[in-house]
Amino acid sequence: MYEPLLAKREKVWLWLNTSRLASSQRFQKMLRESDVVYIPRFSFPIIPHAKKFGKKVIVHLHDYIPVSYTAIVLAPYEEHGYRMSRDNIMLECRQDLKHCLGAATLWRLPTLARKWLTHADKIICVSKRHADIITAFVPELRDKIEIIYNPPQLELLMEEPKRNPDDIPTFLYVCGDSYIKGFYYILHAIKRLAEQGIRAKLVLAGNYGYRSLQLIRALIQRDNGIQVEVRGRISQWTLFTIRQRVWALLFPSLTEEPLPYAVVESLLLGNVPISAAVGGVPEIVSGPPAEYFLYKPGDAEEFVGKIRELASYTPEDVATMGTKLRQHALKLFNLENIEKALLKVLTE
Amino acid sequence: MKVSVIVPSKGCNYLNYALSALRGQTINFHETILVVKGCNIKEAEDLCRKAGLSCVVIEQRSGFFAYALNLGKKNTTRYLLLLYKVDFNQLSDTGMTSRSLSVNHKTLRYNRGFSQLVDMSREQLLVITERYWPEGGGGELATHLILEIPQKEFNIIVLTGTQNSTKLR
Repeated sequence: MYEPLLAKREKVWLWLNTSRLASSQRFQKMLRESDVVYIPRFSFPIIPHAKKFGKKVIVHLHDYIPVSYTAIVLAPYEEHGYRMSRDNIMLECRQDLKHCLGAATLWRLPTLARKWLTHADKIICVSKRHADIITAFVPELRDKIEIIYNPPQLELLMEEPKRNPDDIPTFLYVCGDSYIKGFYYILHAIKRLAEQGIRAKLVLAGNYGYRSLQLIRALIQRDNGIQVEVRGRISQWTLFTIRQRVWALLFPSLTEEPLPYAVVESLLLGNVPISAAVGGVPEIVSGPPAEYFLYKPGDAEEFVGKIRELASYTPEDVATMGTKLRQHALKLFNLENIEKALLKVLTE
Repeated sequence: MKVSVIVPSKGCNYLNYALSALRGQTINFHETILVVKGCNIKEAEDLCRKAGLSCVVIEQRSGFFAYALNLGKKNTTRYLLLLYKVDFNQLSDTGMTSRSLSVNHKTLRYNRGFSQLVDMSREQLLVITERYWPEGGGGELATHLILEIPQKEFNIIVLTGTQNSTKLR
């Protein structure tokens, strides 16, 4: 059901509008008729109103909004936790002046979110690391937190993926030219691999601006062994087809990703994730062979080293690793367990 | 508090599930009124006896759901009325089991017009989210996949700021 008062994306406007919505008669009627209120994004001003009507409120966090203005935490949080506000302002100032001024004036906004969240009955976090970071900053939420992994798409669980790795080492990156997703690590990797004479192919999906495309073009114009295929924003099903032939997913994120779908999908489709050990990633990429391909967040040379190492494998080795990864992921993301845990929270 | 429960039913094959669910409730019902249509009355009485419930079985020969409720209501001793608004033909289709019916016992909706009438139906889950799949990223996709899970247990209403959001399957 479309609600125009929820259409604003900026937190301040959204929260003002959500408060207006919560006080409207038609919404209060809806609240009265409901048994459970579920908030999976930022509409927290609803919480105290729902509690006034004696309703059960479940908040599902997919980010760090109760502790960070930008809803992200740079990795590792042990090093960034104490300077989170400064990090947030720096990240917003990378965008434009408006965002910069917004962050500089409203950096205490998460305090408000925390206040609302204390009224919720249950808070679902999507990985252990996610819950640990939230409770490190907001210990009063500890007793309310439940950890439930996000369910993967049914099709990925049911259908055995076709694996046909290319002869040449092929790597996939899906996060566009986002700074926090590690686009500059990808550029660094292209440059270093070319210098070292490694033959490899990179498939880049996601949104890329003109400047980013120019940077990529400048790197591949030199005659070297690196091929780059920029696919842009493509549908999920096209991406799944591409994943059949790639060797590994590159995930050099700079933030404490709570439970990145890109990595979950890569495990289920048998692509080795060469990822920074951030957020929920080490939790799901545990044990051999994939754990070996995690690297210390922020270490660009280690990232290149892992790519180089995987490029020395044969396509058959990669296919065998892929089968093991899928088996591991199927155990971890057992849909029955996820359903049971979720229904327990909703109906208890 | 004394509670009477009215069970309108056309699906006698599934009546034993409902009766055993009623038996498993945390409160004891003062009386159970079974309004059955196209069923063997004797069989229904046997099922009640087996479930250890004190039942009044009424055969409905005409009319539909509302008529069955009124018929049941007429025959109660006018305590708090509890209606099982579940068609037992649908029961098997929706995959609801006696256990989930027990869970739904929590949902007693007081009807404003009839202060002594409550309706026992699926709980309502109100989802409030400014963005919904396909807008957004992993969080929105996760929300969409998550909401496909409790559809059997809840009536789900999604209130969102996304136009043309993906519908639940």
